[in-house]
Amino acid sequence: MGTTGMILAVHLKQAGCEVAICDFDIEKMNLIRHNGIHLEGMISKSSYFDYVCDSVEELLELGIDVLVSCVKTYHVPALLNSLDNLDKNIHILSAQDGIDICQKYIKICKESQIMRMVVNYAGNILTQNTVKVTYFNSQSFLGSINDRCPEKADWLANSIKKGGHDCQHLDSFQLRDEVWKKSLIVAAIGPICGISKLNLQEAMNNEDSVEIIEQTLIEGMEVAKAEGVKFDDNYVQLCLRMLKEAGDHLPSLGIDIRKDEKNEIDFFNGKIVRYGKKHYIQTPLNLTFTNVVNAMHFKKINGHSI
Amino acid sequence: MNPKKYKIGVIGLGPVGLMLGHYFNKANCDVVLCSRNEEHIDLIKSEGVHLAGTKDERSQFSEICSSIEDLVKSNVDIIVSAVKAYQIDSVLHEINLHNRNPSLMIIAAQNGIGIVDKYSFLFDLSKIFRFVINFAGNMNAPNVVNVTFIISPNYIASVDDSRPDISKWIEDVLSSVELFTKSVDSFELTKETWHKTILNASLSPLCAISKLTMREAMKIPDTNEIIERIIMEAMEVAKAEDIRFEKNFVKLCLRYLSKAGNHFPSLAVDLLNKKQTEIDFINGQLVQYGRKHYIRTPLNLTFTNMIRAITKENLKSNQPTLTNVNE
Repeated sequence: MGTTGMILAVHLKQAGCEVAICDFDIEKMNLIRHNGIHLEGMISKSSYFDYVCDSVEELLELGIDVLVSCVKTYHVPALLNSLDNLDKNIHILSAQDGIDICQKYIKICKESQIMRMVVNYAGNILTQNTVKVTYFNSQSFLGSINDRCPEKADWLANSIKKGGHDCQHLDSFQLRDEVWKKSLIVAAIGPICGISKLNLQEAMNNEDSVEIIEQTLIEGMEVAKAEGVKFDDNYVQLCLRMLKEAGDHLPSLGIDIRKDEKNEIDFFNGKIVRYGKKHYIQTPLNLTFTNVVNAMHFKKINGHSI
Repeated sequence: MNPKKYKIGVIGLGPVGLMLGHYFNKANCDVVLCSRNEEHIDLIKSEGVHLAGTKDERSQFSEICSSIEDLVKSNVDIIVSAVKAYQIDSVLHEINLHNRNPSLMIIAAQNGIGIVDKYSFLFDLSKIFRFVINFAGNMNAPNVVNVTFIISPNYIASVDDSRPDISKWIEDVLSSVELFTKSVDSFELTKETWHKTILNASLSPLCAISKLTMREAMKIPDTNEIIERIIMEAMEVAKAEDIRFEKNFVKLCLRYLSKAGNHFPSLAVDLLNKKQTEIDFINGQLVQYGRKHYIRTPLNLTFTNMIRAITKENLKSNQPTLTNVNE
């Protein structure tokens, strides 16, 4: 129940779905149980939930049809441990950003059970049950990762749309393109803002940082193209225009780096580097950000023993 | 060698200025220090200069000026300019304003590329000398340098090779007190300048941005990879400038850097203290020369631009507000 999970839960609930929510944080879940979840900022919505669980086991006992996974990418292995012997009728919707996230879920279920959402909204946690929505106006995308459960994906996309957030159902190839496009943007701004502590507005108003953002995007695009991803005309310039207008919003990757917390860089810049190697495309900017961020975190964990 | 042959003035009393002042003084030269900070002057006058850390040496100075005008009027023959690279323009402007001595010589004691261009704007090339510094330290107090390393030799040259006698005199003077310094021709010096700059470029901004000490950056495989790539990228640019490298240069650099201490390079210290940095004379120059030769320098560009962007915000937030001006 972070930003993504809370916003999604409220929209599904407001669409009339039966929604059960789950988090290990008992205090937080007690608060939500009694006071519901509140969204403020760019939108203003509140929902109360009948089913509030403190464990995955409890959640699964409710007979759910779709498990929406909104945990941080590095928490997925722990989640998977709780999902051993997952019922083959349950579908998983991975609502995480980053490249190749779904590969992790294949360990516990079939590809046909997995759906993916490219989340194009964002916010900050104000209190344990309140999210300030800072970015909302773009369309999100959702699909089955091997096109085997299009009905369920279509139903979910329509439900989210009915709840008030524009979400489009795509086939797996279109969805892969959107995953890459979103990841390239996060990779271009997350580490720069995280390391430099500039907010997005400051970074986009500084010609030095804009140059790096543009080059990081171009570098990632080359790799993505080698993977078959298709881009609109003027993609880089359109991204820069969108980022310039995005205001104070910062992806969680940047926030985590800034706080020197465990972060998801290996699924953004790190993946661009790996796919670059696969296609013999150099990715020096993405390599620099991946390695610097990982080294900073390594120092935090290992401290004086370096 | 007559140590009294030329009177030396030193501007910029950071680690480089104080160490050079100390060694010229130790060699019995006439040395005048120059600082605008009266408290620093009083401290140096009363307690002298102390080199600590890997050294434990002290020296006393009888002549200390509080302005460049006074320094120039004190009949110095050679001025050692040891200010930060971004301060060179204003210092030279002031020297030029007050100097009436057509023979006055100046030693540029900054590391980095493109430094001499700044001096040659106001000084005749025959009066300019360039020092490649292979020692470093941090300031423990305004008169105390914590010397972190001295690796021989340092290099000195007349930038147009017209005054090898002066650079030889400096070699003799400094080497006599074991600050081993080698007088070379200008081409050799350019090569050493690039070599030294490449070493600085590979570690300084990385440490500044990641907040890793030099030793930590060298020990972590992720950052070690970046360091090696920066060196390789810079070498390509240098080669286009006709700089020659010894065999195994990259590996030798890494070996040299692996002995780096568990402290921050000066560029990192400046950034962490929210001060201006010398990035434009280090990685920034590699980017510029890369552009000249149509060679991509993405790592150097990334670090240059990151440091510049952070510095811009830092300096903005350091600017006095109406409230604290009134205070």
